[in-house]
Amino acid sequence: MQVEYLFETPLIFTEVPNHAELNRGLRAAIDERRAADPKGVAISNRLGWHSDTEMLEWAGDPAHRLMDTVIDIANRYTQDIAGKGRRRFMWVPEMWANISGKGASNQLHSHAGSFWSAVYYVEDGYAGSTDRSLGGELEIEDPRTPMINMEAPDLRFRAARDAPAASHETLIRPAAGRLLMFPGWLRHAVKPYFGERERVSIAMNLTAMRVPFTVLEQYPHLPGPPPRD
Amino acid sequence: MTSAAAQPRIAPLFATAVLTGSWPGSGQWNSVLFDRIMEHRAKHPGVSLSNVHGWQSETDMLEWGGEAAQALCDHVLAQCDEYSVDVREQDRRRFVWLPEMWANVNERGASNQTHCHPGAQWAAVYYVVDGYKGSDDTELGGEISFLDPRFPMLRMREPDLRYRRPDDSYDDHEAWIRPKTGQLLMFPAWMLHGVRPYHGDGVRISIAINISSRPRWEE
Repeated sequence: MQVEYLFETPLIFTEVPNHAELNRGLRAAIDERRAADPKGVAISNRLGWHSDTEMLEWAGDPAHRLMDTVIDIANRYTQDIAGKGRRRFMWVPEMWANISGKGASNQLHSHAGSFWSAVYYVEDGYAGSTDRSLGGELEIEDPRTPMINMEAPDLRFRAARDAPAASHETLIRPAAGRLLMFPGWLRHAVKPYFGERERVSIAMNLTAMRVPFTVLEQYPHLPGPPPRD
Repeated sequence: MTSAAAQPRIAPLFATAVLTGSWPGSGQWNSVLFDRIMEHRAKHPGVSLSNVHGWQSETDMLEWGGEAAQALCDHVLAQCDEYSVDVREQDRRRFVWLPEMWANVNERGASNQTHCHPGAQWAAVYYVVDGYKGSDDTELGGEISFLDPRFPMLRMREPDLRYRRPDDSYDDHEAWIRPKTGQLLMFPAWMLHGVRPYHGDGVRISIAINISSRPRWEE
């Protein structure tokens, strides 16, 4: 039989070019902020430091460059199906930083209200090690969980005899310079991280805001998905 | 573009698989199945479940469908084996399949409301005759329609904003398949599906099978 795949959830990933230099700028801004606001905020983070969500206000040019990249990618992979060739939406961006020491993790959560969510790794903390016992993977949960496993938890779909069984989670091991994007509703977590060095990551949300046609025509530089016929 | 040098890649995660194919036994058995189902319909009022207008038999077709129904069932169970894996034990068979089969006869105007098959692992549908009489006119309707299991969550914030794929198609929360005589479809039993109103002149006959799994000790 043929296997047709319906209703996939996209995970977009890329390496940001020239990220070594970008990361030095981001790291400096984040360290300075942590020194000024050592408590940060407590949301999904366990143990780690989580900045406020105003990083675009306090991290300057490196943060804006990173957000430009995220917006470019969001524009490529978003379509307004009813705009009839005119722009109707603008992105409202939000950014924050996370620093995770040994033992830190993030509980399973989603970014309700956001259309795209992104995470960027300034420093993966692994110091070049490929040892999986260092943990710290981003875990993405199948949005169909637990329905797909209710009838018989051990029986799973496989596309062929030699294909792997379908899994209800995907683990992604971070790497410095890597950018990941996914729908804001998709639930994700960070497994406990056991590296010796601090892990530094940046999280971003793009919320879509409906704006009158005339506003986006008057101010074409406002970020948002391009018109499609 | 800041990211000019970075060509993003996409991992399409957590897709729901629909198996499509044809039953190799269709040439041998379709006319037998047609006669047997029409004969059974003449004597039985049928049931009213997701069917709107059409006739639907009780789920006991394996008792009255004869050798042809058994051959279809055997083929479907072989596909269940092919496309399922016990992730805990591969050397010993821990599960048995429990099939349940019924027939549907749809004439002009018939449809099936959106429904799913709780308690089953796989759902299968086989088309004894599509009723289109060779026409490819989509006005005849009768497509099977699958609903995205993430719906309506993924449309709650901005229904018109969609994920645009690398091939420039975009995310839709329904997928339709136009049936063909001899075609077999299989999909997870939890997936919501329905049949769009059918407007053909010919009789449409399909056979549905629910396949549940049970631990082998119940055998």
